Amino acid sequence: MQQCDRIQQDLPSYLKGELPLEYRAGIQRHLSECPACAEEAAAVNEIGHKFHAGLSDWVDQGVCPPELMARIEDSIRAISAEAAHRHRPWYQSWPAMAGAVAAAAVLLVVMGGQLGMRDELAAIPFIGPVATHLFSGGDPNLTGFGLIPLKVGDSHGGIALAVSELEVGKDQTRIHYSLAGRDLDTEADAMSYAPVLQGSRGSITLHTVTVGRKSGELSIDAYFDPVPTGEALAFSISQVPVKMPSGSARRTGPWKATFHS
Amino acid sequence: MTSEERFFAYYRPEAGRLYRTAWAILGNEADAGDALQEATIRAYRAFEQLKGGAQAFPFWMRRILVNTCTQILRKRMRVIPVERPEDLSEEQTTPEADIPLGSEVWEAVRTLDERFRAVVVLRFLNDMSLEEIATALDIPLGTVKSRLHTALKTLRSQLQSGDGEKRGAV
Repeated sequence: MQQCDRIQQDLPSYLKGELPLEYRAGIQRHLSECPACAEEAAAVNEIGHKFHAGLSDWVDQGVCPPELMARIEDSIRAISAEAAHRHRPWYQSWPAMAGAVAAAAVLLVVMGGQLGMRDELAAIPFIGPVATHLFSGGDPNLTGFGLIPLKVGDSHGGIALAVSELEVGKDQTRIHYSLAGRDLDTEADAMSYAPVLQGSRGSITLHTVTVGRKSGELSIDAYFDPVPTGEALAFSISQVPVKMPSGSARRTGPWKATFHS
Repeated sequence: MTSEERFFAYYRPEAGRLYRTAWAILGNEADAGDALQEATIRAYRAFEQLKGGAQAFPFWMRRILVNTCTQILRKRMRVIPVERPEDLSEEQTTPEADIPLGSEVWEAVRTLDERFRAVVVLRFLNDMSLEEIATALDIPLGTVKSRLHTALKTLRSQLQSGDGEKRGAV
C-alpha cells in the first residue's frame, strides 16, 4: 500500500517521461500488476490532458483590461523617455558641458596670463566669465559636481514618474525626471510640474524648472539649493495638469521617490 | 519603427493571454495586473537581447512573466507558517460576478488554495516539470508531488460530481 501511495505521487512525472529509466521501468512493472494504480494512472493521464486543454483555452480567451494596458504603456513610455535622456549626445550632457567649459576656461586663463589678455577674457561669450572667475582665484567647485544615476519610478492614476539623475554640487542640486501618461497635459507652464524636495532639515528651496516636451511625455530638470552628501531625500510631485474633454484639470498624486545624495 | 513601437507590436497581441496566465498563477486580478506590469518593464529593458523576433517573443515574454509570478508566490508562501494538507480550498471565495465565463476547468482550479493552485497551473498551463516547479517556488520536490497529487484528487472529485459545487474536499 505504501508502495502504491509513492507510485501514485510519481504518476504525473511518469506520464510525462520525466523519471530516470530504471525507476520508470519499475513503475511500469507495478502498473501491470496493480489494477488500482493502473486505473489511477489512466485517470491522472486523462485529467492532465483535460486541465492542459481547459486552462489553455481559458488563457487564450483573455483580454487585458484597457486601464491596465494604459498603465503598462505609460510605464514603458517613461522608461523610453529616461533612456532617451541617458543616450543624448555628449555635448548635451550637463556634466560634460560643465567639464568642457571649465577646461576651455582654464586654457584661456593660461593664455590670458601669458599673453596679457586678462582684461579681454570677460568679453568672450559664455566661457569668458568663467575664465575670469578662475583667473581671479574663483570658485573651485564650479566643476565639482557628482553624478549619481538613479532608477526610481512611481506610477499613479495613469501617469508615471521616473527619476533618472541626481547631480549634487556646492552651489546647486539638479534632479532629472520624466513624467509620462496619456492624459498628461504637456503644454502647461514649467512650474506646473515642479517637485518638492525634502531633506532631514525640511524642504529644500527650488530655483528653476526646465522642461523638454514631447507628446505624452516630459523630460524635466529641477534645480534646488545644494544638499549635503549622504542626505536622505524625499522627492514628490503632488499634482500635475491633465487634459480632460471638458478642458484642463489637475490630477492629484503624489508621485514619490526617495533616494540619497 | 522605434524599439518601443516594435515591442508593443509584439506585445499587444499577447497581452490578454499574458494577463490570464498571471491571473491563473497568482489567483486574483489585482496581483495579476501588478505582476504583468513588472514583467513587461523587465522585458522591455531586456528587449534588445531578444533573439528570434516576433516568433520568439511570446515564449520569451511568458517566461519572464512566469518568473515574476513565481517570485511573488515565493514571497507570499514564506508567510504561510503551517501546511495543512486537508486545508485545500480558499478561505474566502471571490464574488460570483468575478468568475469568467467559459471554463469549467478554471472554475475548479480557482477554488483551490494558493499552494495547490500554483502547482496545478505551473504544471498544466506552463508545462513545467515538477523539479522546475520545486525550484521556482523554492519548496522540496516531495512537497510539489504531494500537492499535485492531492490537488488532482480534489479536482477530479469536483469535476466528476458535476453538481456545480465550488469547493472540493479530499
